[in-house]
Amino acid sequence: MKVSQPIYKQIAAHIREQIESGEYSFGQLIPSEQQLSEMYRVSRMTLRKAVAILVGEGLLIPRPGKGTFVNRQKIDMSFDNIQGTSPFLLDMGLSPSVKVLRSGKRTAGYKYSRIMGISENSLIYQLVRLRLGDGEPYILEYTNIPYDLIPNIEQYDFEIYSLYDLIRQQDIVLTEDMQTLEVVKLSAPQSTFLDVPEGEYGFMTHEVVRDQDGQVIEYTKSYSSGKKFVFSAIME
Amino acid sequence: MSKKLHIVSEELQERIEEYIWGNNLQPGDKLPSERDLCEIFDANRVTLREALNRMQNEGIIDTLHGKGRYVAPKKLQDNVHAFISFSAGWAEEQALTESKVISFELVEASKKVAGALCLPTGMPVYCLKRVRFVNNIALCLETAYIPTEHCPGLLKYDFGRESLYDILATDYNVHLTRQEHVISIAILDAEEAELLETKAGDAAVFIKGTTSKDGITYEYCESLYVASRYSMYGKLGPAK
Repeated sequence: MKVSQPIYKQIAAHIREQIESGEYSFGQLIPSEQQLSEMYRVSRMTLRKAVAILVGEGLLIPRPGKGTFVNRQKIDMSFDNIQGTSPFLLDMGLSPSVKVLRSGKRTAGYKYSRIMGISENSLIYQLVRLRLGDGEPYILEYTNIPYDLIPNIEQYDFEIYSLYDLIRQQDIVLTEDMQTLEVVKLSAPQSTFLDVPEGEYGFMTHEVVRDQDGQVIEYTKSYSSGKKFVFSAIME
Repeated sequence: MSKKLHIVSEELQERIEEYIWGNNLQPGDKLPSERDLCEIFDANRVTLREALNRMQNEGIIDTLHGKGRYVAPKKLQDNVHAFISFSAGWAEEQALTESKVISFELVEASKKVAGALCLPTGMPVYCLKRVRFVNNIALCLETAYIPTEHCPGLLKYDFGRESLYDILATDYNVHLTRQEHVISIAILDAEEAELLETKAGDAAVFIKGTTSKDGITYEYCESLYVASRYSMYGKLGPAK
Protein backbone atom coordinates (compact mmCIF):
# COMPACT_ATOMS: atom_id res chain seq x y z
CA MET A 1 0.00 0.00 0.00
CA LYS A 2 1.38 3.37 -0.89
CA VAL A 3 0.80 7.01 -0.28
CA SER A 4 1.06 8.84 -3.55
CA GLN A 5 0.13 12.44 -2.78
CA PRO A 6 2.76 15.19 -2.61
CA ILE A 7 3.52 16.32 0.93
CA TYR A 8 1.90 19.78 0.65
CA LYS A 9 -1.37 18.14 -0.44
CA GLN A 10 -1.22 15.77 2.52
CA ILE A 11 -0.73 18.70 4.88
CA ALA A 12 -3.62 20.58 3.24
CA ALA A 13 -5.76 17.46 3.60
CA HIS A 14 -4.80 17.15 7.27
CA ILE A 15 -5.65 20.77 8.08
CA ARG A 16 -8.86 20.44 6.02
CA GLU A 17 -9.90 17.45 8.12
CA GLN A 18 -9.28 19.43 11.30
CA ILE A 19 -11.50 22.25 10.00
CA GLU A 20 -14.23 19.90 8.80
CA SER A 21 -14.25 17.96 12.06
CA GLY A 22 -14.46 21.18 14.06
CA GLU A 23 -11.06 20.89 15.77
CA TYR A 24 -10.39 24.30 14.26
CA SER A 25 -13.58 26.35 14.34
CA PHE A 26 -14.87 29.51 12.65
CA GLY A 27 -12.90 32.61 13.48
CA GLN A 28 -10.04 30.70 15.08
CA LEU A 29 -6.47 31.72 14.39
CA ILE A 30 -4.47 28.73 13.14
CA PRO A 31 -0.84 28.31 14.32
CA SER A 32 1.71 30.54 12.58
CA GLU A 33 3.61 29.48 9.48
CA GLN A 34 6.67 28.82 11.58
CA GLN A 35 4.80 26.74 14.15
CA LEU A 36 3.06 24.71 11.44
CA SER A 37 6.25 24.09 9.47
CA GLU A 38 7.89 22.81 12.68
CA MET A 39 4.84 20.68 13.49
CA TYR A 40 4.79 19.03 10.06
CA ARG A 41 8.60 19.09 9.71
CA VAL A 42 8.55 20.74 6.31
CA SER A 43 10.01 23.91 4.83
CA ARG A 44 8.01 27.12 5.07
CA MET A 45 7.74 27.04 1.28
CA THR A 46 5.95 23.66 1.38
CA LEU A 47 3.74 24.84 4.23
CA ARG A 48 2.80 27.98 2.30
CA LYS A 49 1.72 25.83 -0.65
CA ALA A 50 -0.56 23.82 1.63
CA VAL A 51 -2.09 26.94 3.21
CA ALA A 52 -2.56 28.53 -0.25
CA ILE A 53 -4.72 25.57 -1.33
CA LEU A 54 -7.01 26.04 1.68
CA VAL A 55 -7.18 29.82 1.18
CA GLY A 56 -8.13 29.12 -2.45
CA GLU A 57 -10.90 26.80 -1.29
CA GLY A 58 -12.23 29.45 1.04
CA LEU A 59 -11.58 27.41 4.17
CA LEU A 60 -8.94 29.79 5.52
CA ILE A 61 -8.69 33.58 5.27
CA PRO A 62 -5.33 35.35 5.58
CA ARG A 63 -5.42 38.69 7.41
CA PRO A 64 -2.20 40.57 6.70
CA GLY A 65 -0.26 41.29 9.88
CA LYS A 66 -2.64 39.18 11.99
CA GLY A 67 -2.31 35.61 10.77
CA THR A 68 -4.54 33.07 9.08
CA PHE A 69 -8.04 32.41 10.33
CA VAL A 70 -10.64 29.69 9.84
CA ASN A 71 -13.46 30.91 7.60
CA ARG A 72 -17.16 30.51 8.22
CA GLN A 73 -18.60 27.19 7.05
CA LYS A 74 -19.91 27.40 3.49
CA ILE A 75 -23.62 27.69 2.90
CA ASP A 76 -25.14 24.51 1.53
CA MET A 77 -27.65 25.29 -1.23
CA SER A 78 -29.66 22.21 -1.92
CA PHE A 79 -30.43 21.22 -5.49
CA ASP A 80 -33.71 19.73 -4.25
CA ASN A 81 -36.67 22.04 -4.10
CA ILE A 82 -37.74 25.55 -5.03
CA GLN A 83 -37.21 28.01 -2.25
CA GLY A 84 -35.77 31.46 -1.99
CA THR A 85 -32.24 32.13 -0.82
CA SER A 86 -33.11 33.63 2.55
CA PRO A 87 -33.78 30.28 4.30
CA PHE A 88 -30.23 29.17 3.54
CA LEU A 89 -28.78 32.34 5.04
CA LEU A 90 -31.04 32.06 8.08
CA ASP A 91 -29.98 28.44 8.58
CA MET A 92 -26.41 29.64 8.89
CA GLY A 93 -27.39 32.16 11.52
CA LEU A 94 -26.94 35.09 9.15
CA SER A 95 -29.43 37.90 9.07
CA PRO A 96 -30.62 38.19 5.44
CA SER A 97 -31.25 41.46 3.64
CA VAL A 98 -31.67 42.55 0.02
CA LYS A 99 -30.29 45.47 -1.94
CA VAL A 100 -32.09 46.27 -5.18
CA LEU A 101 -29.46 47.34 -7.70
CA ARG A 102 -31.93 48.10 -10.44
CA SER A 103 -35.44 47.30 -11.54
CA GLY A 104 -37.82 48.21 -14.32
CA LYS A 105 -39.92 47.04 -17.22
CA ARG A 106 -38.80 46.46 -20.78
CA THR A 107 -39.85 44.49 -23.84
CA ALA A 108 -38.75 40.87 -23.76
CA GLY A 109 -36.76 40.95 -27.01
CA TYR A 110 -35.23 37.96 -28.74
CA LYS A 111 -33.35 36.32 -25.86
CA TYR A 112 -35.96 36.54 -23.08
CA SER A 113 -38.89 35.77 -25.39
CA ARG A 114 -37.28 32.43 -26.21
CA ILE A 115 -36.33 31.55 -22.66
CA MET A 116 -39.72 32.54 -21.25
CA GLY A 117 -41.92 31.33 -24.11
CA ILE A 118 -43.55 34.72 -24.74
CA SER A 119 -43.63 37.07 -27.73
CA GLU A 120 -40.74 39.47 -28.33
CA ASN A 121 -43.09 42.41 -27.75
CA SER A 122 -44.32 41.19 -24.35
CA LEU A 123 -43.34 43.29 -21.39
CA ILE A 124 -41.13 41.80 -18.72
CA TYR A 125 -40.02 43.16 -15.36
CA GLN A 126 -36.33 42.92 -14.51
CA LEU A 127 -35.08 42.96 -10.98
CA VAL A 128 -31.39 42.88 -10.04
CA ARG A 129 -30.95 42.01 -6.39
CA LEU A 130 -27.92 41.56 -4.21
CA ARG A 131 -28.60 39.26 -1.29
CA LEU A 132 -26.66 39.94 1.85
CA GLY A 133 -26.10 38.04 5.06
CA ASP A 134 -25.09 40.15 8.07
CA GLY A 135 -24.47 42.96 5.57
CA GLU A 136 -21.98 40.96 3.48
CA PRO A 137 -22.77 40.16 -0.18
CA TYR A 138 -23.66 36.51 -0.87
CA ILE A 139 -25.62 36.18 -4.11
CA LEU A 140 -26.32 38.42 -7.07
CA GLU A 141 -29.60 37.62 -8.84
CA TYR A 142 -30.90 38.85 -12.19
CA THR A 143 -34.60 38.04 -12.17
CA ASN A 144 -37.04 38.37 -15.06
CA ILE A 145 -40.79 37.90 -14.70
CA PRO A 146 -43.73 38.66 -16.99
CA TYR A 147 -44.68 42.30 -16.33
CA ASP A 148 -48.34 41.52 -15.75
CA LEU A 149 -47.66 38.71 -13.25
CA ILE A 150 -48.05 41.04 -10.28
CA PRO A 151 -50.37 44.06 -10.69
CA ASN A 152 -48.68 47.41 -10.02
CA ILE A 153 -45.35 45.73 -9.48
CA GLU A 154 -43.56 49.10 -9.41
CA GLN A 155 -45.14 49.96 -6.07
CA TYR A 156 -43.32 47.20 -4.21
CA ASP A 157 -39.99 47.76 -2.58
CA PHE A 158 -38.13 44.47 -3.07
CA GLU A 159 -35.77 45.30 -0.24
CA ILE A 160 -38.81 44.64 1.97
CA TYR A 161 -41.16 42.41 -0.03
CA SER A 162 -40.30 38.88 -1.11
CA LEU A 163 -41.04 38.20 -4.77
CA TYR A 164 -42.15 34.65 -3.96
CA ASP A 165 -44.62 35.90 -1.33
CA LEU A 166 -46.14 38.31 -3.89
CA ILE A 167 -46.35 35.54 -6.50
CA ARG A 168 -48.12 33.23 -4.05
CA GLN A 169 -50.62 35.98 -3.24
CA GLN A 170 -51.67 35.81 -6.90
CA ASP A 171 -52.71 32.18 -6.36
CA ILE A 172 -49.86 31.05 -8.53
CA VAL A 173 -48.22 27.78 -7.54
CA LEU A 174 -44.52 27.41 -8.24
CA THR A 175 -44.58 23.96 -9.75
CA GLU A 176 -41.39 23.19 -11.58
CA ASP A 177 -37.95 24.61 -11.67
CA MET A 178 -35.19 23.71 -14.14
CA GLN A 179 -31.90 24.75 -12.72
CA THR A 180 -28.47 24.61 -14.31
CA LEU A 181 -25.25 25.03 -12.38
CA GLU A 182 -21.88 25.98 -13.83
CA VAL A 183 -18.53 27.11 -12.50
CA VAL A 184 -17.36 30.31 -14.20
CA LYS A 185 -14.83 33.10 -13.72
CA LEU A 186 -16.54 36.07 -12.13
CA SER A 187 -16.05 39.34 -13.98
CA ALA A 188 -17.08 42.95 -13.50
CA PRO A 189 -19.64 44.07 -12.55
CA GLN A 190 -20.65 40.81 -10.81
CA SER A 191 -17.29 40.43 -9.04
CA THR A 192 -17.51 44.03 -7.82
CA PHE A 193 -20.99 43.57 -6.32
CA LEU A 194 -19.95 40.27 -4.72
CA ASP A 195 -16.79 41.91 -3.39
CA VAL A 196 -14.41 39.28 -4.82
CA PRO A 197 -11.39 39.81 -7.07
CA GLU A 198 -12.16 39.86 -10.79
CA GLY A 199 -11.29 36.45 -12.29
CA GLU A 200 -12.09 34.48 -9.14
CA TYR A 201 -14.14 31.35 -9.76
CA GLY A 202 -17.74 31.23 -8.67
CA PHE A 203 -21.05 29.53 -9.35
CA MET A 204 -23.47 30.69 -12.04
CA THR A 205 -26.97 29.27 -12.05
CA HIS A 206 -29.90 29.62 -14.41
CA GLU A 207 -33.38 28.89 -13.13
CA VAL A 208 -36.59 28.66 -15.09
CA VAL A 209 -39.62 28.41 -12.81
CA ARG A 210 -43.05 27.38 -14.13
CA ASP A 211 -46.53 27.58 -12.68
CA GLN A 212 -49.21 24.89 -12.58
CA ASP A 213 -50.06 25.53 -16.26
CA GLY A 214 -46.46 25.16 -17.43
CA GLN A 215 -46.10 28.90 -18.06
CA VAL A 216 -42.70 30.40 -17.24
CA ILE A 217 -43.18 32.84 -14.40
CA GLU A 218 -39.58 33.50 -13.55
CA TYR A 219 -36.17 33.29 -15.16
CA THR A 220 -33.26 34.05 -12.86
CA LYS A 221 -29.54 34.03 -13.45
CA SER A 222 -27.44 34.13 -10.30
CA TYR A 223 -23.80 34.50 -9.37
CA SER A 224 -22.14 33.51 -6.10
CA SER A 225 -18.64 33.02 -4.77
CA GLY A 226 -17.23 29.50 -4.53
CA LYS A 227 -15.69 30.53 -1.22
CA LYS A 228 -19.11 31.03 0.35
CA PHE A 229 -21.25 28.25 -1.10
CA VAL A 230 -21.47 24.57 -1.87
CA PHE A 231 -24.40 22.92 -3.62
CA SER A 232 -25.75 19.54 -2.68
CA ALA A 233 -27.87 17.02 -4.49
CA ILE A 234 -29.44 13.72 -3.55
CA MET A 235 -30.18 11.24 -6.33
CA GLU A 236 -32.32 8.16 -5.92
CA MET B 1 -15.84 51.65 -14.24
CA SER B 2 -19.12 53.43 -13.93
CA LYS B 3 -22.43 51.75 -13.20
CA LYS B 4 -23.82 53.12 -16.47
CA LEU B 5 -21.06 51.42 -18.43
CA HIS B 6 -21.79 48.07 -16.77
CA ILE B 7 -25.47 48.28 -17.66
CA VAL B 8 -24.56 49.14 -21.24
CA SER B 9 -22.06 46.25 -21.40
CA GLU B 10 -24.65 43.82 -20.02
CA GLU B 11 -27.14 44.95 -22.66
CA LEU B 12 -24.44 44.59 -25.27
CA GLN B 13 -23.72 41.03 -24.09
CA GLU B 14 -27.41 40.21 -24.56
CA ARG B 15 -27.28 41.60 -28.11
CA ILE B 16 -24.12 39.64 -28.97
CA GLU B 17 -25.78 36.47 -27.65
CA GLU B 18 -28.79 37.25 -29.82
CA TYR B 19 -26.45 37.77 -32.77
CA ILE B 20 -24.94 34.30 -32.18
CA TRP B 21 -28.38 32.67 -31.95
CA GLY B 22 -29.99 34.75 -34.70
CA ASN B 23 -27.21 33.97 -37.16
CA ASN B 24 -27.18 30.35 -36.05
CA LEU B 25 -23.45 30.47 -35.27
CA GLN B 26 -22.19 27.08 -34.14
CA PRO B 27 -19.35 26.14 -31.76
CA GLY B 28 -16.07 26.92 -33.52
CA ASP B 29 -17.60 29.61 -35.74
CA LYS B 30 -15.78 32.91 -35.71
CA LEU B 31 -17.28 36.12 -34.39
CA PRO B 32 -16.86 39.36 -36.35
CA SER B 33 -13.77 41.41 -35.42
CA GLU B 34 -13.88 43.93 -32.56
CA ARG B 35 -14.05 46.74 -35.07
CA ASP B 36 -16.98 45.16 -36.89
CA LEU B 37 -18.80 44.35 -33.67
CA CYS B 38 -18.44 48.00 -32.58
CA GLU B 39 -20.03 49.03 -35.85
CA ILE B 40 -22.82 46.44 -35.81
CA PHE B 41 -23.89 47.37 -32.31
CA ASP B 42 -22.86 51.04 -32.34
CA ALA B 43 -20.73 50.40 -29.24
CA ASN B 44 -17.36 51.69 -28.08
CA ARG B 45 -14.34 49.44 -27.59
CA VAL B 46 -14.21 49.66 -23.79
CA THR B 47 -17.82 48.53 -23.44
CA LEU B 48 -17.39 45.86 -26.09
CA ARG B 49 -14.29 44.43 -24.42
CA GLU B 50 -16.01 44.29 -21.06
CA ALA B 51 -18.90 42.37 -22.62
CA LEU B 52 -16.60 40.00 -24.54
CA ASN B 53 -14.40 39.43 -21.49
CA ARG B 54 -17.43 38.44 -19.45
CA MET B 55 -18.69 36.14 -22.22
CA GLN B 56 -15.29 34.48 -22.27
CA ASN B 57 -15.28 34.07 -18.47
CA GLU B 58 -18.74 32.51 -18.65
CA GLY B 59 -17.67 30.07 -21.36
CA ILE B 60 -19.84 31.45 -24.16
CA ILE B 61 -16.90 32.38 -26.39
CA ASP B 62 -13.22 31.45 -26.66
CA THR B 63 -10.43 33.86 -27.56
CA LEU B 64 -7.47 32.63 -29.57
CA HIS B 65 -4.74 35.21 -29.35
CA GLY B 66 -3.97 36.80 -32.67
CA LYS B 67 -6.78 34.88 -34.32
CA GLY B 68 -10.00 36.24 -32.95
CA ARG B 69 -13.01 35.12 -30.99
CA TYR B 70 -15.02 31.97 -31.56
CA VAL B 71 -18.24 30.48 -30.28
CA ALA B 72 -17.17 28.11 -27.49
CA PRO B 73 -18.03 24.41 -27.58
CA LYS B 74 -21.24 23.62 -25.72
CA LYS B 75 -20.70 22.32 -22.21
CA LEU B 76 -21.70 18.72 -21.57
CA GLN B 77 -24.97 18.78 -19.66
CA ASP B 78 -25.21 16.33 -16.81
CA ASN B 79 -28.59 15.49 -15.37
CA VAL B 80 -28.42 15.40 -11.59
CA HIS B 81 -31.91 14.39 -10.60
CA ALA B 82 -31.72 10.65 -11.09
CA PHE B 83 -29.20 8.16 -9.76
CA ILE B 84 -27.62 6.37 -12.66
CA SER B 85 -24.10 5.19 -13.55
CA PHE B 86 -21.72 7.43 -15.49
CA SER B 87 -21.94 5.42 -18.71
CA ALA B 88 -25.70 4.83 -18.52
CA GLY B 89 -26.33 8.52 -17.79
CA TRP B 90 -24.42 9.74 -20.81
CA ALA B 91 -25.82 6.95 -23.00
CA GLU B 92 -29.27 8.49 -22.37
CA GLU B 93 -27.90 11.67 -23.92
CA GLN B 94 -26.62 9.67 -26.91
CA ALA B 95 -23.07 10.39 -25.82
CA LEU B 96 -20.18 7.98 -26.14
CA THR B 97 -18.21 7.28 -22.96
CA GLU B 98 -14.79 5.81 -22.34
CA SER B 99 -12.74 5.32 -19.22
CA LYS B 100 -9.02 5.11 -18.68
CA VAL B 101 -7.80 3.50 -15.47
CA ILE B 102 -4.95 5.55 -13.97
CA SER B 103 -4.52 3.29 -10.96
CA PHE B 104 -6.43 0.60 -9.12
CA GLU B 105 -4.97 -0.63 -5.86
CA LEU B 106 -5.48 -1.16 -2.15
CA VAL B 107 -4.74 1.85 0.03
CA GLU B 108 -5.14 2.66 3.73
CA ALA B 109 -8.28 4.69 4.34
CA SER B 110 -7.40 8.23 5.41
CA LYS B 111 -9.46 9.83 8.16
CA LYS B 112 -11.68 11.49 5.54
CA VAL B 113 -12.24 8.33 3.46
CA ALA B 114 -12.76 6.21 6.55
CA GLY B 115 -15.26 8.73 7.92
CA ALA B 116 -17.27 8.71 4.70
CA LEU B 117 -17.30 4.90 4.55
CA CYS B 118 -17.89 4.44 8.30
CA LEU B 119 -14.68 2.40 8.72
CA PRO B 120 -11.80 2.72 11.16
CA THR B 121 -8.96 4.90 9.85
CA GLY B 122 -6.19 2.87 8.21
CA MET B 123 -8.43 0.03 6.99
CA PRO B 124 -7.53 -1.20 3.51
CA VAL B 125 -9.93 0.05 0.82
CA TYR B 126 -9.91 -0.22 -2.95
CA CYS B 127 -8.89 2.99 -4.65
CA LEU B 128 -9.91 3.25 -8.31
CA LYS B 129 -8.72 6.31 -10.19
CA ARG B 130 -10.13 6.84 -13.67
CA VAL B 131 -10.32 9.55 -16.31
CA ARG B 132 -13.75 9.63 -17.90
CA PHE B 133 -14.19 10.69 -21.50
CA VAL B 134 -17.45 11.75 -23.13
CA ASN B 135 -17.46 11.98 -26.93
CA ASN B 136 -13.65 11.76 -26.78
CA ILE B 137 -13.39 14.79 -24.49
CA ALA B 138 -11.65 14.31 -21.13
CA LEU B 139 -14.41 15.33 -18.74
CA CYS B 140 -13.57 14.11 -15.28
CA LEU B 141 -10.97 12.57 -13.03
CA GLU B 142 -12.67 10.28 -10.58
CA THR B 143 -11.21 8.64 -7.49
CA ALA B 144 -13.49 6.02 -5.99
CA TYR B 145 -12.91 4.31 -2.62
CA ILE B 146 -14.68 1.03 -1.98
CA PRO B 147 -14.54 -1.02 1.24
CA THR B 148 -13.06 -4.48 0.68
CA GLU B 149 -15.48 -6.39 2.90
CA HIS B 150 -18.42 -6.34 0.46
CA CYS B 151 -16.49 -7.21 -2.66
CA PRO B 152 -13.44 -9.45 -2.30
CA GLY B 153 -11.42 -9.91 -5.48
CA LEU B 154 -12.49 -6.66 -7.09
CA LEU B 155 -8.95 -5.98 -8.31
CA LYS B 156 -9.30 -8.59 -11.05
CA TYR B 157 -11.78 -6.48 -13.03
CA ASP B 158 -10.85 -4.08 -15.79
CA PHE B 159 -12.77 -0.91 -15.00
CA GLY B 160 -11.52 0.67 -18.18
CA ARG B 161 -14.17 -1.48 -19.82
CA GLU B 162 -16.63 -2.46 -17.11
CA SER B 163 -18.97 -0.25 -15.13
CA LEU B 164 -18.22 -0.40 -11.40
CA TYR B 165 -21.92 -0.23 -10.48
CA ASP B 166 -22.75 -3.01 -12.97
CA ILE B 167 -20.09 -5.31 -11.52
CA LEU B 168 -21.21 -4.56 -7.96
CA ALA B 169 -24.76 -5.46 -8.99
CA THR B 170 -24.09 -8.55 -11.12
CA ASP B 171 -21.12 -10.16 -9.36
CA TYR B 172 -21.57 -8.97 -5.75
CA ASN B 173 -25.33 -8.53 -5.57
CA VAL B 174 -24.91 -4.93 -4.37
CA HIS B 175 -27.62 -2.84 -6.04
CA LEU B 176 -26.88 0.76 -5.16
CA THR B 177 -29.86 3.09 -4.97
CA ARG B 178 -28.85 6.42 -3.52
CA GLN B 179 -26.17 9.00 -4.15
CA GLU B 180 -25.43 12.16 -2.19
CA HIS B 181 -23.29 14.86 -3.77
CA VAL B 182 -21.66 17.96 -2.40
CA ILE B 183 -20.49 20.26 -5.15
CA SER B 184 -17.71 22.82 -4.73
CA ILE B 185 -14.94 24.41 -6.79
CA ALA B 186 -11.33 23.22 -7.02
CA ILE B 187 -8.31 24.41 -8.96
CA LEU B 188 -6.49 21.73 -10.99
CA ASP B 189 -2.83 21.11 -10.24
CA ALA B 190 -0.30 20.15 -12.93
CA GLU B 191 -0.82 16.40 -12.62
CA GLU B 192 -4.62 16.56 -12.64
CA ALA B 193 -4.60 19.02 -15.52
CA GLU B 194 -2.37 16.76 -17.61
CA LEU B 195 -4.67 13.76 -17.09
CA LEU B 196 -7.66 15.92 -18.01
CA GLU B 197 -5.93 17.41 -21.06
CA THR B 198 -6.21 20.98 -19.86
CA LYS B 199 -4.07 23.63 -18.10
CA ALA B 200 -2.96 23.72 -14.48
CA GLY B 201 -4.84 26.47 -12.66
CA ASP B 202 -8.07 25.83 -14.57
CA ALA B 203 -11.14 25.37 -12.43
CA ALA B 204 -12.93 22.12 -11.78
CA VAL B 205 -16.36 21.32 -10.47
CA PHE B 206 -15.39 19.22 -7.47
CA ILE B 207 -17.96 16.62 -6.44
CA LYS B 208 -17.72 14.56 -3.28
CA GLY B 209 -20.19 11.75 -3.37
CA THR B 210 -21.29 8.79 -1.32
CA THR B 211 -23.23 5.92 -2.85
CA SER B 212 -25.36 3.76 -0.64
CA LYS B 213 -28.14 1.28 -0.23
CA ASP B 214 -30.33 0.89 2.86
CA GLY B 215 -28.14 3.28 4.79
CA ILE B 216 -24.91 1.38 4.09
CA THR B 217 -22.27 3.29 2.16
CA TYR B 218 -20.50 1.22 -0.48
CA GLU B 219 -18.50 3.93 -2.19
CA TYR B 220 -16.96 7.32 -1.49
CA CYS B 221 -15.96 9.16 -4.62
CA GLU B 222 -14.20 12.43 -5.42
CA SER B 223 -14.59 13.72 -8.97
CA LEU B 224 -12.99 16.69 -10.69
CA TYR B 225 -14.96 17.82 -13.74
CA VAL B 226 -13.26 20.34 -16.05
CA ALA B 227 -15.44 23.41 -15.39
CA SER B 228 -15.24 24.76 -18.95
CA ARG B 229 -16.63 21.47 -20.30
CA TYR B 230 -19.32 20.73 -17.76
CA SER B 231 -22.67 21.95 -16.53
CA MET B 232 -25.22 20.27 -14.29
CA TYR B 233 -28.96 20.54 -14.53
CA GLY B 234 -31.78 19.31 -12.43
CA LYS B 235 -35.50 19.59 -12.14
CA LEU B 236 -36.56 20.87 -8.76
CA GLY B 237 -39.92 20.17 -7.22
CA PRO B 238 -42.12 22.45 -5.13
CA ALA B 239 -40.82 23.52 -1.74
CA LYS B 240 -41.61 21.02 0.97
